Amino acid sequence: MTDEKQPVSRREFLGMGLRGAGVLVAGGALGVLAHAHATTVWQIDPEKCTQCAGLPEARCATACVKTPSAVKCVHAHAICGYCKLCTGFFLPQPNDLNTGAENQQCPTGAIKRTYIEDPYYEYVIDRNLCIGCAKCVKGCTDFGNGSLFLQIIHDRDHCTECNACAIAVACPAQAIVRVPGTAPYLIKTSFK
Amino acid sequence: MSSRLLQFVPLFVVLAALLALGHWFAYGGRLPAFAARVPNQDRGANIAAAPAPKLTGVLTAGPGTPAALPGAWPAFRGANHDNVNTDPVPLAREWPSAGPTPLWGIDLGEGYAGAVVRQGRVYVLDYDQPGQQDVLRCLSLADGKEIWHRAYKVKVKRNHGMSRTTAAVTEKYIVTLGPMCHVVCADAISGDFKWGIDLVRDYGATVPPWYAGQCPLIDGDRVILAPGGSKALLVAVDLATGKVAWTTPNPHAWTMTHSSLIPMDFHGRRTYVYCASGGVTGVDAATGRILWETPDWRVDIANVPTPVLCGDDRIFLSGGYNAGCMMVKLTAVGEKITPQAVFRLPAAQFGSDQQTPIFYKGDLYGVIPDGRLVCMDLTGKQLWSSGAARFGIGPYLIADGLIYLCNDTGTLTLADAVPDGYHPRAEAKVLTGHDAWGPMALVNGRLLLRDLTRMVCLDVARH
Repeated sequence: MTDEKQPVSRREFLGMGLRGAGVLVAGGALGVLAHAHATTVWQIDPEKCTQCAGLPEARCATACVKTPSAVKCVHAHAICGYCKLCTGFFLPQPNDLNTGAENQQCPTGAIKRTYIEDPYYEYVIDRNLCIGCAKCVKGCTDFGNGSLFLQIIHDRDHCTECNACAIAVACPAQAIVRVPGTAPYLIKTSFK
Repeated sequence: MSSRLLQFVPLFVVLAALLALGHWFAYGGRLPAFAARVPNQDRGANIAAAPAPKLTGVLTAGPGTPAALPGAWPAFRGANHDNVNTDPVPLAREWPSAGPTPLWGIDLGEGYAGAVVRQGRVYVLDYDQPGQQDVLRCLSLADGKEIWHRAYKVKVKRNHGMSRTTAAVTEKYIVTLGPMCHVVCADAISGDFKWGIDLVRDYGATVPPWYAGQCPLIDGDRVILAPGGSKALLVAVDLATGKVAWTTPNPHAWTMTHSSLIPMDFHGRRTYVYCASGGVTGVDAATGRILWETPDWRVDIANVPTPVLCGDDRIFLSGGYNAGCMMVKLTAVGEKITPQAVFRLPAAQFGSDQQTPIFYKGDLYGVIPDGRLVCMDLTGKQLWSSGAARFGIGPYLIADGLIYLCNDTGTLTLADAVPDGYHPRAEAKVLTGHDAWGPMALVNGRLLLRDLTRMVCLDVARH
């Protein structure tokens, strides 16, 4: 008997390497799939959101660890009335129905209003300007179709996915829930 | 070598600091780009006026015949403009499980226009979307078959419904006010055209957002309209001839709302009360002169409910969009009439988005913005609410001590109209569509109500 190790040939070495890589790839793929199914993220349920009614400011705008907040207004155009007098765009007592800053709900001018044809106007949210204050959402929910609502934006520029969501803790309506990472948004599809 | 390099380190540090400072000045401290928010950025400022329609229109006969049934619901909110039916016909206090018996139903264009009834005929101002025309339909109260219809071309796009006004009818004439502020008077029996007015062109009116909701008021031999235009705030027109009896000037440039005019007799003088865009006014029925006005009540988004008379000298005003309500009391010293607020309540206590509350036997009944039916006394004290029972923004009326309420999706509820509490009696699903917001009409035990696209006639009499 001898305890001398036989040298590994180049062919055997490459074979072992490939087998090992295959195991790693398969394991990694299974891991990713399992992770994707198991991972959940925070999201605002628009049916539960009260726009922090009764509070001086919306918690989504102030409690998020990101500045400005990772919460943004989104617009379900399919249920928008395209109204000339949009209660999400205009203050309750506007001086006039035009785009002057003094008439607008949005403090940052994040809602772009465009005339389509009489009597319709389109409203589009500029996400870069939106701070998640919910003023437009409240106006639209209280008096309109409810097509404007808040969502936590899941991309590298917004939600940090820290799993310790500060606004979920601060939300007075407990409207922030865990949803699957594969379907991270709760989009409204019908009138309020 | 190393010591020579070391002597350059301070220079490198200074250069790096200068570069960093320059970068900070150039980019770091700059605010994000901003733009002024000024009017007309939506490019919607110059909307071309629509061509004037030919209001003479076209009359088309149908197969229906008038019902041989007495009773009338001749105007928005009934004969007395109070939404209280005083027919002697007793009404059912309970319903079978399937609800009141449906007598007939018809499909209509999208809208909320209510019906008026007189001489066995039902009138409703419909909008025919494929034909792009306002259509005054005259139907038989017996079976809903069309006796005639009169139509004129006008383009109205879908915008939360299209029709939304209730006509006014006398024995001879019927007057309609269409979504684009076109007023037409026709023979109530034959349907023949009598005269027409375009409130936009003739009086400088502005079509309100979501189209006109004002219902014309017939008082005696005149129809009273509120164009709220540059040429007149109110106008009285002779029914028979279409001639203008008087116009009221519009010194504050108040505009038309969805609210309707209501007659009021005060200190022996007939007046008309109107909620315009900038306030409330009372106008002399004989001359059109403004007798009093107040800017204290305005609902900028959409002023829909009509003023409610509470006794001889009080007017109850309510609105949606957080407007709440206000009770106004008129006092007269000589010729001078002064309106004063008795109380004002927030929307959570009493307000009304679309329907007009009802003053009945000394108390007010109305569905407030959270959907509850509420009974309130004339001091503003809530006597009771319907609690968990909610009714949306659908219509309600009172008859024979009962209140009928229809919710947004066509469920009809029957309850006692009494001040000692909410006592529901029956409930039934009577419409299958949505937005069942059109005002109801009740004649001779027959209740007419509608959703967005269908009107039905129910037998609610006691048999």
